[in-house]
Amino acid sequence: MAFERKNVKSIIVIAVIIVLCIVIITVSFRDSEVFNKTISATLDIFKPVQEKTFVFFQKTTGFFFNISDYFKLNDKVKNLENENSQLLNKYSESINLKTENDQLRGLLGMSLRSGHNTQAVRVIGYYESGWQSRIVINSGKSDGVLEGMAVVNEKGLIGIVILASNNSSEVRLLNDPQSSIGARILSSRKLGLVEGSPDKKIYLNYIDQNEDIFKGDVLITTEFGENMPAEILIGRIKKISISSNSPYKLIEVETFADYKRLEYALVIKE
Amino acid sequence: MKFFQKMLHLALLLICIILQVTFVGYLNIFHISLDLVMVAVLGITVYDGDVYGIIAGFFAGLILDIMTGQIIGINALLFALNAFAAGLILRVGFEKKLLVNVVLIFSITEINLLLLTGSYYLFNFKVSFNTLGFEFLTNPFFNILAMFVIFPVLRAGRKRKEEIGFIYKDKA
Repeated sequence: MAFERKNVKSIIVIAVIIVLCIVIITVSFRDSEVFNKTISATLDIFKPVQEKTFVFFQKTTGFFFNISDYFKLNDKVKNLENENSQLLNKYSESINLKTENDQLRGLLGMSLRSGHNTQAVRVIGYYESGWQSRIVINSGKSDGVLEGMAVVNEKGLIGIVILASNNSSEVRLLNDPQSSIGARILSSRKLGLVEGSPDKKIYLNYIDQNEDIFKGDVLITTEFGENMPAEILIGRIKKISISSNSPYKLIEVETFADYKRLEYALVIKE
Repeated sequence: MKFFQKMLHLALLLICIILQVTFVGYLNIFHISLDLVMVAVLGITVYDGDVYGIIAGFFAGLILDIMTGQIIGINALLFALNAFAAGLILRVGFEKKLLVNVVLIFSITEINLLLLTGSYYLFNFKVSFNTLGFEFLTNPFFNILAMFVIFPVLRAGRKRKEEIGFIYKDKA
């Protein structure tokens, strides 16, 4: 008898919760103001604890990264030496081009591109699963950080702010399956979309199979983004493959920024 | 005492949520994926009863969804259903023994993965079957490891209570 009564009680509770969850899922998909406020408030409540815990565990994970790095040191040094020699060759060429560019701009009366208004932020959370790849930063609306702003570090674009609460914000990284950003191939000036995938690889999509694209080509942001400044480094092409089922090339992109070790970043406000 | 114990279990659940958001998400980089919150919810169901487990699962899932989720409410629903299923299995007559707990965690992890993937697929999210296959193998293993840490913590208060009760009776 007691068994049945308990059974009925749990069935009633689960039935109520199922109905409640269906309502929550439906309302959340309608992008309601109440939900956005609740999410912002929750992020703000958990921010201090999250920040402290993340900083604590970051040191632990950093230790494991150092161990894995130790075994890859030889390969890394070789790659860096190759890259360094290539960069040295390009350096003198760039100096000449810069001088020439400055002179021509002077002749045409064009001003140099101005810098961006940025906000320095600290990474206080990292979340990766099959469905998402996000970080949490310690600045929000109170610092002028808003949804849609680009987040960068010294190596290039990291992601976009998707949710800004008062004191913290969520940033969708480029390898998030939902991420999609307009990109330009620096050498050929061709346009495509840089998109994330569930296996956390980044692809440059919508590049025709007849286009000449080369491994190592550098990608930058386009001038067409609403909040995204142009000419920010995204990454370089790592692998190109052709599929008979698709009219586009399958291009894998390697970002310059290492998401696993993010500690600080900049939010571009303007 | 029972109320105090339940509050302690809730505190543990909250710690698991914070760890899941800050640390466990990070562990994914090393291809270690585990669901601390699910294990804690199942633990609460085993030691505090299914009704309490269902309610705890709902709120824990909701907080997790709000902090990290793509679809708000999906983890709340799944964790509540997990607690309900665990309650049914335990009430049928299985004893609270180690092997039962291991099988419980294993089966619910696999079902959870299937349901979660199915839900995301229905909501038009991209699904990687390679990642899913990998998680099918690794997730239960790491969840069972987490069980060996979380379950004894949940049981700890219960043991102490039984001991106190015994001593009290003795004195009487």
